[in-house]
Amino acid sequence: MNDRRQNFQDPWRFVPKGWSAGPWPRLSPVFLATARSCTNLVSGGPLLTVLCVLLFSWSWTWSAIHEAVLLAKWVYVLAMTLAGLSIIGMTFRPGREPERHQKFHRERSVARGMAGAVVIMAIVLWVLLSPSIPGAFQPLPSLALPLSGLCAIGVIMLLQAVRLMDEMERSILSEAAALTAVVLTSVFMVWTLCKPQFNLPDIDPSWALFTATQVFFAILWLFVVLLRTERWDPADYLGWDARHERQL
Amino acid sequence: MKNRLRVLRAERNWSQAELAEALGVSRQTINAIEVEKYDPSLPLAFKMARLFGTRIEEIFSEPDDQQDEPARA
Repeated sequence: MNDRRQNFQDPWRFVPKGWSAGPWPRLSPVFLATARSCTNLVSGGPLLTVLCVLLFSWSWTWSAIHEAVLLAKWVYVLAMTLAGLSIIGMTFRPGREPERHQKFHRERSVARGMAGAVVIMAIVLWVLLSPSIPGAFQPLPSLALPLSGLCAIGVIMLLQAVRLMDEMERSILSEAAALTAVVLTSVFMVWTLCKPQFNLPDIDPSWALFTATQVFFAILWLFVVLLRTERWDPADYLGWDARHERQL
Repeated sequence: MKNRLRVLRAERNWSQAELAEALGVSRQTINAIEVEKYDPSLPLAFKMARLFGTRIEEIFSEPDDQQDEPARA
């Protein structure tokens, strides 16, 4: 088994020694690759939108830009869903965990709570964006109750994750939330002031929610990667490999 | 805030993960403190001092430029 783990092409290579067998190890490379690529996509949300606008708004009219942003929205919501689900997949382990990996229990609970909240947020965004008409927001009365219930579950998962976070993780989260509020308020003020002069469209609630999500995750990523930690890798954070043990 | 956390940890031959586990924080937090990107709270600083069997002042110190300033009354 050890030889198999040393083989770079083997799906077992991400599985620490001592983990029990089961279908999970076979899915490990899929979870890891999806989590890495989709979290990068989610964190680069504003960049993704700019790229979509540059690539797909051929005529540079408001309607063409709306179409391009709509495409970015769908890609973004899909990336959020996949990132959340793959991180949740990485946090579950079948069988008994070896003692040296039990120390990642807190990290896994935090990641599971945050990823669960992100998946729920993506579902809510998906439903809100589903009318697919740029600028149109429908209250979706028939889905109001299930959506409210889903939001409540998301909030509970987020609170549970925050409760388990350590002080630096909490400080990063609160600083990112504060900076997002400042950025969005500034953009809203400038947009409102410039609206009559440049004939800008009204701010749509679903667009506002989508932009707020993008800006929040981009700032969160900026804080995590540039300001506080050396980098954030789901594999490292969740103890999927032994790189942390080499850092003395 | 300067600190001697990396030195104290190396003296005891602990990894960042082992120290993080003993203090109940993530390894990333220990790394951020060591590279002076994050200043720990007072309770965490006390916890570190207790773990290393030393005083907080022997782990953390002010940056040189602030140490040179005369103390205010």
